[in-house]
Amino acid sequence: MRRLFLLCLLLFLLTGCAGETDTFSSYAPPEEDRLVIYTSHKEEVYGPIIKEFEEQTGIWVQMESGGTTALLARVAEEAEAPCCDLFFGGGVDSLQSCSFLFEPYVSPLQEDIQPAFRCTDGTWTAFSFLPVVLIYNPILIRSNPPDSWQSLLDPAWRGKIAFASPLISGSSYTALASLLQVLPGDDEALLAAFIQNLDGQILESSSYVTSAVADGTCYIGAIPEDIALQAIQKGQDITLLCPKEGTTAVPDGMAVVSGCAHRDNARRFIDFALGKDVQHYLAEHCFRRSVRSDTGEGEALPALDYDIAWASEQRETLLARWQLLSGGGAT
Amino acid sequence: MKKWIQRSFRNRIFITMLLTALIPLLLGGALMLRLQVERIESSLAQQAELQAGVLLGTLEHVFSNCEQMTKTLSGSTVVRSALHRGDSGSRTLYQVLYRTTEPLRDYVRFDVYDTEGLCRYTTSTLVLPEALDIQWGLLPAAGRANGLVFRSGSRGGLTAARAVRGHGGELLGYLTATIDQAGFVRLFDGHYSAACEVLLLDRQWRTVYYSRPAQAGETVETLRSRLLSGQPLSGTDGAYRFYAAQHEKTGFTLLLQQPRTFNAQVMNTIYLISCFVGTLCILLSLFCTWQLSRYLSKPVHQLDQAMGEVERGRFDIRLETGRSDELGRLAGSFNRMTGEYRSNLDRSVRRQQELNETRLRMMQAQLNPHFLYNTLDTVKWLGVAHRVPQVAELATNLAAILRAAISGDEIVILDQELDLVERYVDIQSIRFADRFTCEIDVQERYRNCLVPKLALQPLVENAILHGVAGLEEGYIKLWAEEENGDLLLTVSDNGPGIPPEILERLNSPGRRIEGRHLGLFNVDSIIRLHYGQRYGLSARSKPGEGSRVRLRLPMRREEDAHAEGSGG
Repeated sequence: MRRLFLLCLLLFLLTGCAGETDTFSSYAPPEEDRLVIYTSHKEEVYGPIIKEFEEQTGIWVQMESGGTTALLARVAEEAEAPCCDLFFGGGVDSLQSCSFLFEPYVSPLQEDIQPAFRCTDGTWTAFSFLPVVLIYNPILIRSNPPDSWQSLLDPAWRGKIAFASPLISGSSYTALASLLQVLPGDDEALLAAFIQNLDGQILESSSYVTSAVADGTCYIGAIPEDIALQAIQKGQDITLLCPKEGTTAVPDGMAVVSGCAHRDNARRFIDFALGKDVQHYLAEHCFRRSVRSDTGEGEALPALDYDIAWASEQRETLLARWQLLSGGGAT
Repeated sequence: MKKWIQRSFRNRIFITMLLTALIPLLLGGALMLRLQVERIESSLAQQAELQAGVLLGTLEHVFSNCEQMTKTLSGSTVVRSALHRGDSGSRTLYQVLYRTTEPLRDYVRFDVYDTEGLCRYTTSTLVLPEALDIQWGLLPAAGRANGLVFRSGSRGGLTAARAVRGHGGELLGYLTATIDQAGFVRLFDGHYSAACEVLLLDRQWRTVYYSRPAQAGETVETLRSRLLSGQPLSGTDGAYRFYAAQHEKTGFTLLLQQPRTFNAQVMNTIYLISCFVGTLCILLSLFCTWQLSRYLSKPVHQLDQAMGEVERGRFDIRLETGRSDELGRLAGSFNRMTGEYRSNLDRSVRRQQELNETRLRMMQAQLNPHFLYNTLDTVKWLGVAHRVPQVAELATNLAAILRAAISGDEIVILDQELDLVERYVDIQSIRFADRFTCEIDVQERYRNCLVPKLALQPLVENAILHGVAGLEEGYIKLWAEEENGDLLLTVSDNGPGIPPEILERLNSPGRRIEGRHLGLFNVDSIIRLHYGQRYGLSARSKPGEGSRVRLRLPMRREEDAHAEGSGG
């Protein structure tokens, strides 16, 4: 017993009584001044918006960025005890297909949103939208550029199409759904024909599409408008055009996670993001189109009657089909 | 372990000395190490807190001066009118700008923007700063606020803006004060130790300044997430320690990042060295205490071994320690003790041998007494039948002597012994035809004294055979007396005396003589063995003047013997 005591004393002396307290808890914000956002937007997009939000409200925002599908899976995983308060980004079709993860919120600014982008049940709130456009390499294609969705099935471009895997990229799925909706015929046959025309050329991210077209690996591609515009601004030699059948304009949205810890702050952020300042900033600096009706779009788009509900419903089926036909997706 | 300790004296000494040497050493070492580490760490912490305070003071000074200067400038008529007019090269404005901002221009750049967000005037000596967005970020915030608005830049740095308004409250432009990376370096330089790093963070802990710009993004992001998750800022490895001070007005946080002198790696090294030194100490202590305990316990061990040997019967063992202390004396005592014991044992063995030999001789001297006794009885009755009374008397006396001889008693009373002597004398009188007379003069009070059986008869026999045998008128006297509590029995004769060489031997106890006077020696031996060396036989004689043989015996009576017998 006494020996044990001595041993303990010795250990105590050796390991030391260094109880350190540098958690700086007094510097940490209180719970009501916090917000956790999962976003699939890029840092260039969300960074300034978050900073401005923080400056204006004094709320500390914690960001987790990643792919839409992965982040949605994570929210689903954490459904018991949500870490995330607000899901920011991702096509509203993706959000709608996971509507059980979110709680409805109708922003007081709903009236300012273009009617097409209003959510009926309040699951999501549209933030911006990006039409899917076609791009081609103007050096390799001098005449008769591909100008329609039909071109993507044209055997002339077989193996020359830059397309990101819809399993990874949400916008790619939107493009695929648009293609299937626009073109007449059986969906499965169209999907098979399209995958055959890709000839195994499936990219891992939509951002690779522009470089693949610009460096001549592929001739044509289908991507969201902002990526194409950014690439052009960076000096990549690609030409952008809208398919003549029209294009989809699936907005990306924001949704409050069901049962989240900072509900008020999440709603506040939605209102902030729908505000004129942010919407204006989007159009000005991020190549995204505002969902507000009063910001004024520079260029009218050939609109397409895109069935968001159908796209969300078919998502699982189509993706499974895709995986089957393409042999495991992107590699 | 406990058993091992208790097994030997040496182990006890060893363990005790080892513990007394080691425990204070190790405890002291550990305590010193801990105290030293604590002391250095606390002094470093004090130093860092002091530096953080100084840095915050510097910042506060600059911020309040910026506040003051922009206020002065925004209120200045020169600035207002120049902005109102839309001038972009007003010399007066530059004069005012330079003069007002002079004390801070080393660190801070002041710019004047118009309502379109274009920079019209700057204190920068390089290029004109880019236009600012008037719908997004700092400038609209400054427009909304009434005062100086501080904001971190998206890529670090700090810009503060204040709206310039006309007398009617209409917006004329903006004044900005910018501190970039280089400005902060100049501002903070020399106010903190070179080993430390300084971080300036805005209200939401976004980077304003980090003295290591390349790692700013990563470091601040890590710190921010640690703060939000409630972890220690130093993280798990604890390579740094942070000291914070907050600027109250702006809510900016100043962090001093101090590398920990005693980080995990250094502490590991220190512990490793300590363990090594400790092990060395333990080994040295083990060796020394082992040796010392051996030196101390060796004599005890030897004594223990020697005792074991003695117990096994080796009495010739001796301890040679060569020491003069208590242990040396103890060894000496042991040697003396075993010596004494050995000689005692030798003596007792010798005595036993002698006794046995004497008994054997006496037994040999006896024929089968029963046969003799029966024969003598027959002779006696034959003498009576043939009317030869001498033969009957001879046989009767001899039988009586024989009976006495074969009786089991070792010690008899003097009276019985005297009876035997009388019978013996009667026998010899017949043999020697009354050529001698024997007078027995023993007082009644001695007659119940105890004497060894057949102790007197050999004396009388000796007096007859070697004394009066050749005389016509031999005279033998036997008497008893008391001297110093001893009983003296003396037989004297008037014979030719004992030859001197035999006399000498008779008077020197322990000597043996074969043949003549064997009986006297036997008597002497028996008495000495029974009663001790003080008693025995002594003889005095002069040639031609007879001899006197005396027995000295302890004065014991029958009742004493009984008391002894029952007592013992």
